[in-house]
Amino acid sequence: MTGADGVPGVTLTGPPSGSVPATTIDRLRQRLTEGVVDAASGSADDRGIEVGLPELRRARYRPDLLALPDEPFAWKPAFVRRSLGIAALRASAAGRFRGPADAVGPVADQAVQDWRRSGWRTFHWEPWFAGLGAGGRASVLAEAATWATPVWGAFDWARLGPSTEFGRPDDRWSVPGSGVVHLRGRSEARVAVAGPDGRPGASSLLSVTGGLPGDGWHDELAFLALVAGLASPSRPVPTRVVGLWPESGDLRVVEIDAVALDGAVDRVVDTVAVIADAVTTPDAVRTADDAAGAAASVPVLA
Amino acid sequence: MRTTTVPRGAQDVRSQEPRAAAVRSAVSGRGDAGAAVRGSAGGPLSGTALLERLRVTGRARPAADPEFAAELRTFLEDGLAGPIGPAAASRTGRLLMTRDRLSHALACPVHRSAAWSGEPTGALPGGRTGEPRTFSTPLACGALVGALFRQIVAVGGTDDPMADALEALSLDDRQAPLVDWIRGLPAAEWSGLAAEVDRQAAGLLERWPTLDATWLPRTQEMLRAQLADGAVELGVRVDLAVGRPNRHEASVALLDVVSGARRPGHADDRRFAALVAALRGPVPPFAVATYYSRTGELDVDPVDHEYLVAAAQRCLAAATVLLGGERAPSDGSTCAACRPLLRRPPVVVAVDGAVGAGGSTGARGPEHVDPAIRVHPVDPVVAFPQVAAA
Repeated sequence: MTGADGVPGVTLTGPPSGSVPATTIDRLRQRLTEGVVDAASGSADDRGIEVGLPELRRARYRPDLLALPDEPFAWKPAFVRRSLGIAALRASAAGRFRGPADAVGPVADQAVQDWRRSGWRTFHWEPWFAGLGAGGRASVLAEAATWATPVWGAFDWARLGPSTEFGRPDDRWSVPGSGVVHLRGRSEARVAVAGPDGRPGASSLLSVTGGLPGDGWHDELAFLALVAGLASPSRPVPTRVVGLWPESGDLRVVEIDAVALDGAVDRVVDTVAVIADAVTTPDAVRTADDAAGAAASVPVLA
Repeated sequence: MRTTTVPRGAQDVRSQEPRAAAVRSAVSGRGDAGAAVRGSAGGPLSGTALLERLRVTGRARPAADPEFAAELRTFLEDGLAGPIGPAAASRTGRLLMTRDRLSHALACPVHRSAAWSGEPTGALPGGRTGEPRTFSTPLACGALVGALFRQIVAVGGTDDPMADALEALSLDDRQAPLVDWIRGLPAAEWSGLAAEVDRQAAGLLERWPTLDATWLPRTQEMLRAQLADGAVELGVRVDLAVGRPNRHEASVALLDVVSGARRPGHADDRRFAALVAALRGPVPPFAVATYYSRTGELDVDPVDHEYLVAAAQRCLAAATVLLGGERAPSDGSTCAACRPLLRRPPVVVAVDGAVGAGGSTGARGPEHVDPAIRVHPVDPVVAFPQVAAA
């Protein structure tokens, strides 16, 4: 089967090592609910707590950032690169282009044309992009191509076939009883694979991340499978999550089983506790050592 | 052993067509193959010739060598073990190593003190000496040309170089102070800067070929590698990476674009980029290059074991300094780039005995003064007292 280019054992579509039974998901749901409700108790944030990969990482490696107020949103190339990059990957995998560098321009132009014609904003950034001059547009396209190109080069997407879903909607699950805690799983691609018994319906996920993998990378990848399993109880839990860190060239795999998912549950509970603390008593979260392992959270020397 | 080197995407094309035709198909439009022979006449390379200079280093591309890669990492981590020990006890920090930090750590005393004490970066030869506190037109030109190079690789052209580059920079929050500074330039300086940016953009458009999408060109690509369980992080951003990563043989070339003059430090920058790329992947890049947009010159270093070992030695020396270890004893000399800075206006003893600087204080000009009494402060510790305390 197709896998990463020569990386031993790293494949998106190789045979899964096992599957997670529904009873395990039920147990995890119960444990997660109890843990999160306890961890979030006392949180004064009426907006709720959303936990995705960025929050998991921030809480572990840079909890000092959690207490900072959100900056006003303004579009910039970095905010467009993922959605445009994924669209370029999709178009390239479909054989319309030879790679992201060729695809980003026509894909962006098409999106703007569609928006102008119908008013429908597939990616949300179309009006902003349309208002840019040549230099701004080129910067957006270059950013998206540079984001997508290592992803394109890491796997033989053309051979993975049309079942690959690029940039599918996020998996979402709200923790019952907590009232305010919502989990969001965002992966860059889902690839259909045959289950352990050979039947279709299983899947692998691909997650693409900037920077370097931290020491909690295993739980972070498993988190995506956990949320997928909670959000879609009728579908099998993804059997494998592959993480790609283009900047460091790392490609890592988590085979999903009960142990991996338990680790993800623990990580979510820890994260909710750290976020709730940061919101309630921001001064209490000043150093990374407060919440997680010091080795993973040291600041960069200035 | 392979001696012909082209990115894998180019190999695919070449397998279908004769070589020359393949190159033309990959290098279409501006900088086309038809205009690619100017380099042979002594002028700047362009089009196919430029690309060939980057692709064909004259040496076989390194094959994957896990044993050497492990040795390289072990060499660095063993060397870092000592400095990291006491540093870890005194501070909780990860040492981030960039080209700037390496250059600073290993700079001559004058360079180090002047660059790191808040003096204008642009006052020193070479830009990469530290966090810029103030801006200069050469620095602005570099940022603008860098943005234009990215645009030309991404979309193939620019109609209004200055406006395009400024808009691209203005979308990057980190460049906001520089953009403000450029927009506030007096008209004459603005015109001069715009003229130079236009000139260099024209050169890029004329000489740089379109890069085939199958070669996987990426602009401003960030490369990172960790050492010693994350205690040290190496990071470098390259203006262009091209070539499909291959786990069996080096297949990627890295390139930086420099708008100013060639400096010895650029070779060190190339070595560092090669080292980071080698540490992060199973195979190193096959070439690291610097393109001088002002002149069209292209310096290409083929990468081999010796090259990487030299880069690792330099990196280790800098890391040792940055971690608070012993700095190699200075002989008091300065690097070639700093010497002009130290040639302060001569102290002139006028005929009436008064001492002045920067010209004659008496009726007779300095040209009449015996050269023997001119004083050029060449001791960096004397000239820059803060060096002594560094």
